[in-house]
Amino acid sequence: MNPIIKCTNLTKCFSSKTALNNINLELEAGQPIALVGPNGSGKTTLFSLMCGYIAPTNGDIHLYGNEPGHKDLFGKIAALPQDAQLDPRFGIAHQLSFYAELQGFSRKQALIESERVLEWVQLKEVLNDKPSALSHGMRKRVTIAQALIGSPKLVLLDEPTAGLDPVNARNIRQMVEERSGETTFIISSHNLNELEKLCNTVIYLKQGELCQQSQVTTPDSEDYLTLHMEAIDLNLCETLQTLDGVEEVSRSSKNEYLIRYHPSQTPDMDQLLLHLLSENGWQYRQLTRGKTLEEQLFSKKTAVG
Amino acid sequence: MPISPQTQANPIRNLWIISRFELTRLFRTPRGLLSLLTFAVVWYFILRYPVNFAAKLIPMKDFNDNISEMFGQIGLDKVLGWPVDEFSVYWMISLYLFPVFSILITADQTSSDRSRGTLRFLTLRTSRSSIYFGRFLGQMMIQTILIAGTLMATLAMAMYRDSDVFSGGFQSAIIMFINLFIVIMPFTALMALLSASVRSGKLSTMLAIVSWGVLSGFLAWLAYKLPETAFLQEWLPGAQRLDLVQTNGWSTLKQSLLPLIQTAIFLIAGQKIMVRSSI
Repeated sequence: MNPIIKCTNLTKCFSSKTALNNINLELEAGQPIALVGPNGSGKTTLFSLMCGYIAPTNGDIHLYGNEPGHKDLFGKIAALPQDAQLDPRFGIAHQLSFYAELQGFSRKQALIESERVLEWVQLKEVLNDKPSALSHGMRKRVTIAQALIGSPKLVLLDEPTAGLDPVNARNIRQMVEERSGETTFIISSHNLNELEKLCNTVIYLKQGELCQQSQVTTPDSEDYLTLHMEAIDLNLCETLQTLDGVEEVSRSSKNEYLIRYHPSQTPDMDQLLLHLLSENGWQYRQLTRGKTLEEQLFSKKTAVG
Repeated sequence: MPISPQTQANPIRNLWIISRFELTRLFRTPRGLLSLLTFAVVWYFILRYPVNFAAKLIPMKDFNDNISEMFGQIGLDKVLGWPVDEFSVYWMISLYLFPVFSILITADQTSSDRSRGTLRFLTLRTSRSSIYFGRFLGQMMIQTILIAGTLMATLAMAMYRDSDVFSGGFQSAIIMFINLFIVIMPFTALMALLSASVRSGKLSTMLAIVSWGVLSGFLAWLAYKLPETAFLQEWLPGAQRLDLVQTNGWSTLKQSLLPLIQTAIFLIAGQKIMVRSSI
């Protein structure tokens, strides 16, 4: 299978600062891909390179076999760039229709397409409003809508749910899930829970370097269970340690425990664990197979027992 | 149910879509309509007072003799050779006023879009060259409408005075229209270039004024020190306007080559900047 994105020795420097250093990356079409990393790690720079907003200092980047900005990519790739805004002087429908026309829609079709993408972000009622009449969150959803015009093959979303209320953030996640079949999404976000729910592949950047490119659920992580408790119980760790097959229990955060076990010895560990919790009257909030994405990326566990 | 685009996006079609969108900036936004109103008010006063007043004086023999003598000394006697007096005055004013309008109203061809991030939405749908040339074309279309409007108003005013002037007036209007279109081209192209280089329309206006002032001052100084370099002053945008004032009729079009070359140079340089710049 040909990769949709291929970066070879990709480097981008801004005067004396190296924003991305020698990135080698291949991504294939399919389920959403998460792009994570701390502030200043190079996520937005990588997005900007993919979209052709900036040129690499060294190395190559190809999308569907073409360099960014190539005419064959017009309408095939869309993006929600960070901080980009619509023109405040024109109505939403006018601008979205304009973008649709540039993608080859007729004037009439362009208006229908604008309505369709606004409906996806639950904003059909703002069709004739100007961006200045909308809240920050609504403007963000409209800019997400522009990225969906013409059903592009690849959509790059930079912090799509930042600044959105929980209901609309959920709606955006649902929309991404529904569209994932025909469109490949690459999502940059600091919300790891959100990425964990949506994405199969994770690209982790740190200080401009590619630290990790992996699947969210790796075979290795199937040796783990993550237990999120309602409240802390001092005896919990010791009691968990007594279960047959448990190798190690560590506390990854205040109410969260990571249990390493042998699945070959105890394939029904999750059921044993639930039974133990029930016997002791301990309330749990969530039990997850494998490590959380946060744990996979930033594992600094505190071993107990 | 998703719908597919009817056609593949192509650069020429997109060029037209972008330039058409520029027209809506003038006619469908409050700011555009306010600019249009301001332009109309300015031209109302120009036509009402200097043009109308001068057109009444020019037919007076004493005045005509005096002014011909005075203008003849500075080589401007040809300005009175236009068949309709209103157009003689219009010609002198518009040759200097439209380039100023050009610098002011076409300063923000791509700069605001760059700073706002709107260019990022556009460049995923069409080439940067289409955006650049589309905006230039749109600005030229807007100015074409404005020039045509002032010419029609001048013709109407002349015909109100004397309905027999239509034939001569109409021909003058056509000649002036073509000339003014060519005169504003390098200014609009210069603003396209500056707009592609900076992130604010105001900044590109200031840059245009300052660079023009500095360059013309420098060339004047250079010509004073090295007289053989005096010809360089004629390469400045709009330098041919003095020659245009000293000509009338179709012969004015002989001055078209330099502005067309300047336009091509500015447009090509701006396009290179547009294609290579970070957005």
